[in-house]
Amino acid sequence: MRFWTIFATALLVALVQFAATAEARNQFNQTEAITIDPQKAYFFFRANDRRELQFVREVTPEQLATWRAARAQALARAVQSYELAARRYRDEVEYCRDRPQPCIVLERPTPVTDANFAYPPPEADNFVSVERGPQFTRVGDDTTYLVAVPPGSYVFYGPLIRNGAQAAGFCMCMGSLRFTARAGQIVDLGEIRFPDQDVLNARASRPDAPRTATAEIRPYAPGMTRPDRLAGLPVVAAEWRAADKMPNYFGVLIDRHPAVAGVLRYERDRVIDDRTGSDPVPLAPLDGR
Amino acid sequence: MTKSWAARGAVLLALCLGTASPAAAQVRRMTPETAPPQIDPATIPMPELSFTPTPQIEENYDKYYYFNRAGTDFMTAYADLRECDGYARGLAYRTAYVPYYAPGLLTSAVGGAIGSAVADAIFGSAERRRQRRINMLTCMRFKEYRVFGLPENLWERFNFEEGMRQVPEDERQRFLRIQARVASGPAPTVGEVRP
Repeated sequence: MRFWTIFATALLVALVQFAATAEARNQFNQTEAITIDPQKAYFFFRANDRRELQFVREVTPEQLATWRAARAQALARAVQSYELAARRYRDEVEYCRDRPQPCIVLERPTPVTDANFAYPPPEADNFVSVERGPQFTRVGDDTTYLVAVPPGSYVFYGPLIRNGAQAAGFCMCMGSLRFTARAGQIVDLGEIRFPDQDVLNARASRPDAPRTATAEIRPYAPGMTRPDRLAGLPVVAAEWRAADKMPNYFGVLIDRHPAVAGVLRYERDRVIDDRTGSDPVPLAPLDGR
Repeated sequence: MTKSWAARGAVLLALCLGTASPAAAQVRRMTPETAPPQIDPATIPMPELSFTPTPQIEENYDKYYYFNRAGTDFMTAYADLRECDGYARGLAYRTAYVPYYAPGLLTSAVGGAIGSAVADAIFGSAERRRQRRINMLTCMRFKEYRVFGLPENLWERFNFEEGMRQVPEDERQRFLRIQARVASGPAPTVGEVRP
């Protein structure tokens, strides 16, 4: 009975959410004609398996300014709410002063300050999912993907499936790679390799499993072929850089991208931009404010 | 296909079909955290770590373990454990060890809450505890800490598991401080768990 309740609920959630979120897909299929929108950027990559991936875009100065203003407004409202709650609490304490205990039912509210105010990070709206399908080309398990995205600087967040707040998989939270996708261009990321399912299962279930990377980007090299449908289009190879640690936004399993010579390396868990020998540039200002 | 795997498939389907949810609705509130105060490690008692390994104890090293790294001071170990604890509980420090983190997004949006309930019904507390163990080990291994197994009765004196119930912050930090004392203490001689 419990099983069928769970199963039916999961299916219902799937169907409701699918219906509610049907929106234009930005992922090209195997027959679509490609027209480059000069306002959009495009990712192209090869993969040895079909898995959902997440990328997160760097916060722009304009986005940060908007976010700061929204946060300041939300903070002001939260402070007002706190003051109201604090006044109610004080009144109740006064009312209960000479009455038998227990009398006070309200909890003492925690002061809201700029330092402890809870608010989503500025990059929260910048996630881009590349889903398992549609694929741009597919021969057996070897596939390619072409996806239209807002222009910007992107970080590979990891192989994880996401549904709103729900997610399962791995984030490259402890170090990854980033690249820039420019408007009107198709950026060729190279190939994304995934280990066998057995490896992923082991990493997801056994604390002592070997730390085999859960995904690895192999930057574009001249030996990698491109589908004929990209001929004549503005395709450029991605310029890779190191990406610093990121939050585990979705509470999934953590990983990091393997080192890439000349791009990304590690000193223990410290992420090093191998081009400069220094720390990588963060996705957003460190204090988020 | 077993019922368990069928149910997992259903959850996966729910996750797969709904991936186009608006991002704005997905984010749970964040709680910035203050930096840890300076602590004199001498004020933290060293727990009992000596034992004689048996096959039965060794069988559970993947659950009951602690960390140690030679040449590491207490505050470094404490910062490392706090960072990894953040990742393990679905939070994470941002970058460059700045103590600012984003909670996991498990229960924010309505769809997410339903999905969480379904996932929790299937995977339950045990799965969450296992995920915590995996993330702690992954993170601390990247930091090049060595891992040592312990009998459960010694382990539970300075460690905690976290499933559905969140460990209160005071209690969590008290345990992490003792773990940091151990992690920065003398190198253990028994029970190493090789990667």
